[in-house]
Amino acid sequence: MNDLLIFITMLTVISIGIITEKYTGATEITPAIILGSVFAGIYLGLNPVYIALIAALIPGYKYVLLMTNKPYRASGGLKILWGSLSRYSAYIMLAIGLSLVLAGKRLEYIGAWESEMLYILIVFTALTATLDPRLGLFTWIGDKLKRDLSSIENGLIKLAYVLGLMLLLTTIWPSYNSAGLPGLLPYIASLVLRHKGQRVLSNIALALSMVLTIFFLP
Amino acid sequence: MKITFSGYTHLVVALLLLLYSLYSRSLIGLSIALALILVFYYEYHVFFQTKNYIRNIIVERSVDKKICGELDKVKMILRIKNQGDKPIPRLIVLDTLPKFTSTRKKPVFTIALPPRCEAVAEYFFRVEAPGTHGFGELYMSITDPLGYFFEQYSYTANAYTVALPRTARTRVSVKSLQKIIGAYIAGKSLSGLYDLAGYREYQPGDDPRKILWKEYAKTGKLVVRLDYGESRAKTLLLVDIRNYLWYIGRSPNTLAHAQLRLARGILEYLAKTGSHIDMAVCCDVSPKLRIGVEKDVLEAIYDMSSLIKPGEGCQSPLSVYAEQAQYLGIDPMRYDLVVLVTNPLTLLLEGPDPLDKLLRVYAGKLFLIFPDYDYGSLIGRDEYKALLSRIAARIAGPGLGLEIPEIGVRINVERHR
Repeated sequence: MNDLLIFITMLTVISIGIITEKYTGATEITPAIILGSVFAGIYLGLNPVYIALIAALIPGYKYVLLMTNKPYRASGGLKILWGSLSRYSAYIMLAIGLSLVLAGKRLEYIGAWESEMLYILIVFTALTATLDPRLGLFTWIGDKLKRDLSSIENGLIKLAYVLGLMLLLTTIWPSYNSAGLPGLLPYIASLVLRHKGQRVLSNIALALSMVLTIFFLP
Repeated sequence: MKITFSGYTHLVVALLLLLYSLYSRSLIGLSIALALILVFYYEYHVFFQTKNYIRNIIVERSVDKKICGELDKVKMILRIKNQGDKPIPRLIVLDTLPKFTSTRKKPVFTIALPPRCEAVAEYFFRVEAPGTHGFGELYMSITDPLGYFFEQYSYTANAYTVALPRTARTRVSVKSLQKIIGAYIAGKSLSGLYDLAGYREYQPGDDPRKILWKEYAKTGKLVVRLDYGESRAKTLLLVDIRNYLWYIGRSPNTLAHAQLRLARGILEYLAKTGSHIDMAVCCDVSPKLRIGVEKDVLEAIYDMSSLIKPGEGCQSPLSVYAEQAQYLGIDPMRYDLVVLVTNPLTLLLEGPDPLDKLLRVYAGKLFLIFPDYDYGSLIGRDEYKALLSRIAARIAGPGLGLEIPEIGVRINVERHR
């Protein structure tokens, strides 16, 4: 059977599970369906991207259900969730960077110098996310060293952004390779948002930039 | 710390995806697998930090009606406060309901508590029995935002509501009581000093000479005058409730419900006749006595209801009502009438001795009243008839009598949904 057809069927069943969970409060239904779908997908040799998308539904649907819970929203939950979303986006960036490091140059599409640049860019952006004070890395190191590292942290974040932008522009410019273009706009938006102090939105834009860049890799 | 099924699923799926993406050399799969593992770690980290902040949470409980009627809907208000400087990303509050209360939905609330903030959770519950309904324990589950880990804590926040029994329809006469109070007692005079003390509605058995005919001509109501020096019936009302009565029949029409509604009906009736009333209610081991309750009948009904805990009842034999009078130094013979609200099943289970003791102590004054209930289906029609004749025979000499008034003590549940 076609991979896409299987994927759509699984999505339909999962949607029914989510609706049932929403109205009956039976919290085991949807995770059980997702788990079953992942097992079935692996057994059928489904495209890993589809399996990854189904797997990502577990935190995704939980998050959406919580956001649509009226008492939760009324009690100030949105602000807390918003903060979590920033963390999640930072983790996604970190994960993409880490996976690229793990996969390394053995991947077929890494080779051309533009791709090398993109690779460096993604790792760099992931590092930017890692340096984000919300992840607490610098706070943790600072606590261990009993020093205030916030100025170093801020400097490094700014440097990472500037370098990232330069790399992205270089990727587009000399060889007319448009691979970096889709990621460029969210990247600039991220820079502007960070400058305005909107760190949550900045992180989300950064995550979007990375996801788009990786999708459009040559 | 406990992990939920969603948490297990997240971890298993992330690990499966990690292996599968490495096997199939998928960069996106690998990225998402790593992101999922990091998100799982983040949830654990948040939960681990948050669970230490439980001591900063306090819950205050209140109800919108401290006094309500049976089958009324009462609003429960839970104020949940975070007194600390750290946010609680997700808190699940589960309230526990006492016996004989019900809600349409389970009282479970998912809330977030930012620092120094308060959340208000409200729900309605229906009171299905007269008596004091005490709310105390509730459970709080602290979880991470996605609900992968949780730790449950119990918390005590007290509030109560007192439900008054519904009024039984007293239009249908309590014939024997009317006869005793009207003809036998109210007609007596102690001193012969006839000074106007007040008015009250005419009761069958009242002296027709006391009817105020001018008042009748004006209002169309029969009113009798009350004079100083005129004796009033001194009545002792004994309300007996046993724990097993709450489980005979279906709520809100169990035998206990019926008996309490009857007790209210009788109390209101006695007050209407102008009797002096003392009331004793036994709900645990000994009866609680209230003197002169005719002055404020509603307060007396509240007093009676506040002593009753739905599902619980008197643990002593019926004779405790006789012992109590002796213990308190009350002369049982001061009463003209002693009304015991009970039921034939209690008398059957207790045996003849406690009743005999009551008949001895309140010699010639004891009057038994049972609620109109379907006893025949509980113990068999023939058995029930035989039991009633045995009780009637036993009370005939040393007591005043026995009556099962045709008072409506049942409630149509559907009308109150």
